[in-house]
Amino acid sequence: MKVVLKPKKFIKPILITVIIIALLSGFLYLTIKNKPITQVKHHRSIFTFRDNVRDAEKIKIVPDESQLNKAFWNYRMTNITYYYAPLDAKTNGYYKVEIFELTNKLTQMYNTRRPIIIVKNFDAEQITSFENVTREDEVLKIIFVPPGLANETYVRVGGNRIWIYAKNYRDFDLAVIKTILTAMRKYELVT
Amino acid sequence: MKQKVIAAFLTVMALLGPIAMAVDLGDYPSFLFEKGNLDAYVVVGTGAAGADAAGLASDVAGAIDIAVRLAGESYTEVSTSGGTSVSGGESQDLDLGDRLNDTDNFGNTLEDDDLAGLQDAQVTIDIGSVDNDYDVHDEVRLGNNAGSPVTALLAVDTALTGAVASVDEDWKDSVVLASKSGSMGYYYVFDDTLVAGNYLANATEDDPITLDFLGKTLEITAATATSLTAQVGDEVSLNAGDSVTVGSKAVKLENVGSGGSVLVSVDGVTATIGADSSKTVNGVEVKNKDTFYSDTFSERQAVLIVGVDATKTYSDGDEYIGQDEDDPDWVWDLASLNGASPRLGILWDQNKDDPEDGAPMLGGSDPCYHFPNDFAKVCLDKVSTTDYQTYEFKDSTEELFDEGGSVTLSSSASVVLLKSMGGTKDGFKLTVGSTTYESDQVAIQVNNSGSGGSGVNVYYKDHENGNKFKKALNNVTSSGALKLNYQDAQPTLTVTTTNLAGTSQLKMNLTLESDTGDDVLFYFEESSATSSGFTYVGHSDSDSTQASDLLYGDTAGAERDVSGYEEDVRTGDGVVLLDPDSNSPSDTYKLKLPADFGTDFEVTVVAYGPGTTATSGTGGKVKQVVPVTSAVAKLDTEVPAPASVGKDLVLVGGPAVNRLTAQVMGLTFPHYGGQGGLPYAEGEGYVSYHANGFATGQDVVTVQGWSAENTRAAASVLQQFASFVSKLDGQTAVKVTGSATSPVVSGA
Repeated sequence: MKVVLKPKKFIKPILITVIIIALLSGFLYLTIKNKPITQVKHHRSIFTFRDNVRDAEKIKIVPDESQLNKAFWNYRMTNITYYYAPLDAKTNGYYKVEIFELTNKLTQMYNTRRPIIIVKNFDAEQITSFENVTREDEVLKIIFVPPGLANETYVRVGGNRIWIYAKNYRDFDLAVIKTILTAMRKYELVT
Repeated sequence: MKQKVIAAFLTVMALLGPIAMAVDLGDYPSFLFEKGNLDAYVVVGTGAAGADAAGLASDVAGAIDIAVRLAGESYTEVSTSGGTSVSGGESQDLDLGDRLNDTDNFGNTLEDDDLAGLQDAQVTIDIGSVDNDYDVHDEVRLGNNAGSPVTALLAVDTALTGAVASVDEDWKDSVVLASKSGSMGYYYVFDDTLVAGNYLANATEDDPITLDFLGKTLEITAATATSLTAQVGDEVSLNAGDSVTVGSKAVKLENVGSGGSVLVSVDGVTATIGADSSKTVNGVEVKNKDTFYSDTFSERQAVLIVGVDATKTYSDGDEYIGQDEDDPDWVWDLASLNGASPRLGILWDQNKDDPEDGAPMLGGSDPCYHFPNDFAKVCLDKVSTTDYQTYEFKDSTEELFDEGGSVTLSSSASVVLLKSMGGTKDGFKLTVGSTTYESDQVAIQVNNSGSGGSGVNVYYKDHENGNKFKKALNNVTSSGALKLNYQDAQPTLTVTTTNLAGTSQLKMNLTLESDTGDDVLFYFEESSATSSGFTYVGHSDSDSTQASDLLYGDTAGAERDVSGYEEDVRTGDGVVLLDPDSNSPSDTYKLKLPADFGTDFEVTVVAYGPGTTATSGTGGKVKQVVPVTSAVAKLDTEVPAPASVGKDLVLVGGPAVNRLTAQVMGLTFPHYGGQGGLPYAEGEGYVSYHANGFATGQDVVTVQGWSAENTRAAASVLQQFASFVSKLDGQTAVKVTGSATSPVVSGA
């Protein structure tokens, strides 16, 4: 019996298979690419964050990331003080969460230089006005401008002070994460 | 039957197991860790009571306490050999004569992982259309650095070691950090290759290159292969209205213009400086590097470079900024600035290897080498011991007895008397066979003196039996049985005898055997072939000049003659030879033996970076990073189903503010103190541990208090848990009174 292979008979299923594979690959790529990442590796430590690091990376820094990074690594700076204005219960809750996140992650970041010991003291002060937070040489002041008081989200650095502006609560998390990531400068996403 | 017994045993063990393995507050925070990883949420409250400002302040303070502590727990302690504990610097224990750059000491290069404050950063070079970021880092380099001009040596020396310092009695008994020109350097290292157009030589006044160099801002406006034109200052970020002090002058940013100019004042003298321009204002050079304008005055800011040094051109080998032009300590090391891999650094340019050079000495007014701008320093810190035992070796006349002490062998023998001064009666150890005699005095007698003896007899003073010199060794020509003995130091004092050439006159060397240094040889001889023994030390009696009596060296015939030294000098093993020249006429050799000898006599050298903080204090452990995951903070509203989160929980705040605290305590949220039902009262804080809090295997800790201060005090107990282990041990709940700085823990 003679078997005749007709190309037309095979082209269609092959094309369909190739298209399906391409679509699946694209879907998988987009899924992985857009998958929320909450962990980064800095030196030998894994840092777990409250929200998507990829979204946090998009938060704007004024004037630039280099200035913000320098603020955290200025060896003359020995104290980090948070400034916050008490508001409603939810905002106050976020203050606690963000202060924990910053303190815990920054301490861990400084600790990654072991056996070099970098000790920064942390403190917090309540304020009623943002105007009177003055510059001090050895103190890095982090000032929270929470939802309700900020109409856009960004991080501003200048004069040994960092202002974290967040127009909504998710952005509050993202702006804090961005601040920590900028302090680290070098990190890898843990996918 | 046997099976039944085993089964019963296992049943009992199974019942006892949970009791034996019971977790309590004394185990905090280890139960929050899973295989070294912190596996917990820290949950803060959002209840209406959280709007109270005082309560918020305490919760915030508590969150900081817990955050710092849990971050600090991400490390394991590993044992070290001890020595000085340095925060942010590096400490090494060196032997005398050691070089600092040896691999078991500091090595050739110190970077940001070694010294706090050294940078590992990124710099942007933007010249014309070529704009790139480059990774850079600081290096402090120490001696013999391959591929670098830092080729000379830096060593810990004494008057006799001569590793770098000249061998010179004028060093006296000091421990000195001696250096040669080119033995230290600081370098700004580009980790990446510069692309064409971004070379340092491409910098111009319009497109300068700004680098953080030696802790200052170096703005390069021109360069050749081996020179650069630059200004050095401090980069400061100021908001409008901010001031900073430079030298003794106050520099204030008065305002920022929308076009990029700034208005600054220096001690009241104002000036407007355009974008990217410099101006000298009241003696201070101010560069307007960058500005940020906002409609809101307080948000306007500028980055200024301020300094008192004007722009200047420096060539390779020129004095570094601020150094003496004719005799600089530090000079520029510049090469290939017109290429992709420039060499940009400074180099030590002094020889501090002679006593008159003023090298850092231990105990001196300044035991350090300082890098410019106080950026780094290398210092002698301490020696491992300051305890010494003094010894004298001299001629004497003594009554000598046999081994048992009952028979007088000589009523007035001329001997060499070895004596440890003061202290206990065990300055010498003399081992004969399996017996070791301890004494503070040893006598050495020529055997068969006056009759052609070639050996010696060795006696020890027996203080426990009539203070008699009893014979221990008979007619030895070479013996290593005798040791000096002071605390941890037990060097051997070898006895070696021969006859002078062509005579039967005996000569003897006592050799203090070296460990890391060289041997010390003490010479004795019979006064004549027919004399009655040792009647002087050295080669002659009451001589005015000494030669070859006291030698230092390991190689026979090449030893250094230190007989005529007029100063106390220290050997490479830490032993101090006391003023040989003045001691010899009195027929006495004197030395001081340190409690640590040879390699045990260690000199601690500390390298400090700009960020190095407190130093000193003995340590035995250091913390070592281990891979960890960190804790994550959550609002109580973000954990609606705590049983299913799969994490342990630390709950901050009481049942009035934190839903989960109320839930784990079996209360209805919000629950206020005034409603009763709380396990603590007014004026008290409370810490509790709940095994299987919301789910099996889930550990839950609550931190709360009646008032803000009480919550803060409770949090501080967890922050300082190591201080309260005995109070927390065995407890699942404790009350906390007192304050955050002095909490008092009691059982709940």
